[in-house]
Amino acid sequence: MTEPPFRGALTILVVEDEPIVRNIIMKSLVREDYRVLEADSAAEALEVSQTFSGTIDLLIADHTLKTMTGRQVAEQIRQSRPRLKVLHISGLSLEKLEQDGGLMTGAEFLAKPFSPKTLVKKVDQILSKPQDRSASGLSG
Amino acid sequence: MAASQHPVILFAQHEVMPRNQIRSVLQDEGYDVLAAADGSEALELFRAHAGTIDLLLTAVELPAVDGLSAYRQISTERPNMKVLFLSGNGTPSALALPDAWPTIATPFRPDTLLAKVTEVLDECQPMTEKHLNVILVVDHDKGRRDRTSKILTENGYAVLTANSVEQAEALADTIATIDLVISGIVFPGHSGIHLAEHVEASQRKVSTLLISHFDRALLHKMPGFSRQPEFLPNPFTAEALLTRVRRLLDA
Repeated sequence: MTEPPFRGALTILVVEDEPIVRNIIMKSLVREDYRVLEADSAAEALEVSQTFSGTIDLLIADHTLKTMTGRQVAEQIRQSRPRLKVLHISGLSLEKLEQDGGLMTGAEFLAKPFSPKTLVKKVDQILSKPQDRSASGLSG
Repeated sequence: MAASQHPVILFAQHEVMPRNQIRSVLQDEGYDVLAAADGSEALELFRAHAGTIDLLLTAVELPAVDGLSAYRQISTERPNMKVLFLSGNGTPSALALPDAWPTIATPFRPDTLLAKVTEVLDECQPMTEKHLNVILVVDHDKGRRDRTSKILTENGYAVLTANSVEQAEALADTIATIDLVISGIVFPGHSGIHLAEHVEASQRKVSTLLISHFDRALLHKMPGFSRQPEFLPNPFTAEALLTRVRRLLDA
């Protein structure tokens, strides 16, 4: 059985342009002791990634942002943070997402709407897993 | 949604890293924080969580809707909402906030912020829209402009200052809600009367007080002067200025 993560040592970056949804996600994760950074746009997410000096363990990215897709944001951040894990969230179905650029290789997906409990369970699962080879950039 | 055990702070700040840092400081202290990246997000979050928010902590300069205007809107919908303004970075340099307004100057230490938040939550009375007047002062004479601004801020008004009509028109776009324009009349370039007409044309509910050392009979010959409701001969006393300001704002 996988050990649960030590949440207080893990940092999550949330990029979501809907303020109500973003704050619900933030509150759900902070309440479970995760360290959480927020961004309301792709540009802010990239700025946080460039500015924040610590490790970012997980990116939770809404798929449909104003200027980029969540996948594009994740791929840009992954260039400087190769061990970053990614959780895409969207109100679109997986099928639609595939038509619209798809998910980043190795990324997880959670369909909106979701409950705080479902989100935390998913995040716990992702952060408990050993590093995926494709996510670490080792697979080329 | 269940009532929160902790005070809830609605926090609006455009710059992403300060927003994350301040949010973290507040959360570590046990506050529930709703964070907004601009004034329109703040209004959206306020309406979604209307009954639960105890304090608006906001920068003044924000995209879409500035912090002052957001608070004015919120306080009309929720009159007992308290506010703490962040001044300094993120505040237009031409804007002076009155000492009486709950304000914390940035940058600040986390413990300074937490002490100020506690003070506002525990001791400050909520402000009302009547106490949130913003006055735009336009005068090419720096000494007189500073004196006018000082008189007004000491008496509880927020003041934007400009040295020309052109600068004033640009500044007026940084704060959506301006209640009164106090302007000289004769400038190089556009006149104060032009400014008054420009601001009125922006559909804001705004009054104008024109100030000049020129004789009123002479000024009446200027196009548009007679349409302006209030005139203050220069030089003027603080009392004369404040009397006209109150009259215009109460009208």
